[in-house]
Amino acid sequence: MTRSVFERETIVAQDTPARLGAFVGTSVVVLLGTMFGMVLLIVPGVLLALRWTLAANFTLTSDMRVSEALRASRDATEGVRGEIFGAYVVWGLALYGPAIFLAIIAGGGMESINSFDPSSAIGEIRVAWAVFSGMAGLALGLGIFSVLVGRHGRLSEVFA
Amino acid sequence: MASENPSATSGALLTEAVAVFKRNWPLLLVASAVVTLVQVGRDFADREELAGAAGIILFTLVTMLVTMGIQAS
Repeated sequence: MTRSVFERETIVAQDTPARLGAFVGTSVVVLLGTMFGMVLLIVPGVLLALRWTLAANFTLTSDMRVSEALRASRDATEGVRGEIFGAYVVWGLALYGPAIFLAIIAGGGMESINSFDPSSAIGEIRVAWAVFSGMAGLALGLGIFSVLVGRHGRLSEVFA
Repeated sequence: MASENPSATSGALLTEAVAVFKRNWPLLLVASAVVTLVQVGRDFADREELAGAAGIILFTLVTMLVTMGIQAS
């Protein structure tokens, strides 16, 4: 999906190689690194997540290894991590504000929402919202990559 | 290779995200729906105790693989 969107958005040419093994490896490293950082009182996890937020996408748009993708993401996000964090916060509030509202209505906090049967009315809303949130989350990741690296960023010179 | 993109404000990132969403929503919908369905299936199996602890871990790994596979496709 990511690769298809990048091709549609002309962020990457169709014949550009992608490393699927590196993509899986990078995703695992980012996940584990972020989780480890979160254990260290959250802030290191957030900093690592911001630093590596573009890493997996680099492996799908260029012939990069895991370490190269992590480095490229670090460099591409340098100086704009505050802006990326701000975008994530606004995006998160817009997406999860309604979920929190739903939790208040359900009267038992987030646990009450998560425990709903998917076939119940609120359960169906929750599933639909999870799909929408997923779409929005993917779009934000792609949008950030597009601005910082793609059509408006470094790769724009390639496609000029 | 550091970013020198002065237009990369939070607003610009969000604007581009909305534009990407509008242009590619069918693809995003399919990707997100598949991942969500797998997650709902895992949660359901967990809640109804249809699978043991090992089964849930396996289900979680499958969810991760599906998510990565869809993202990479």
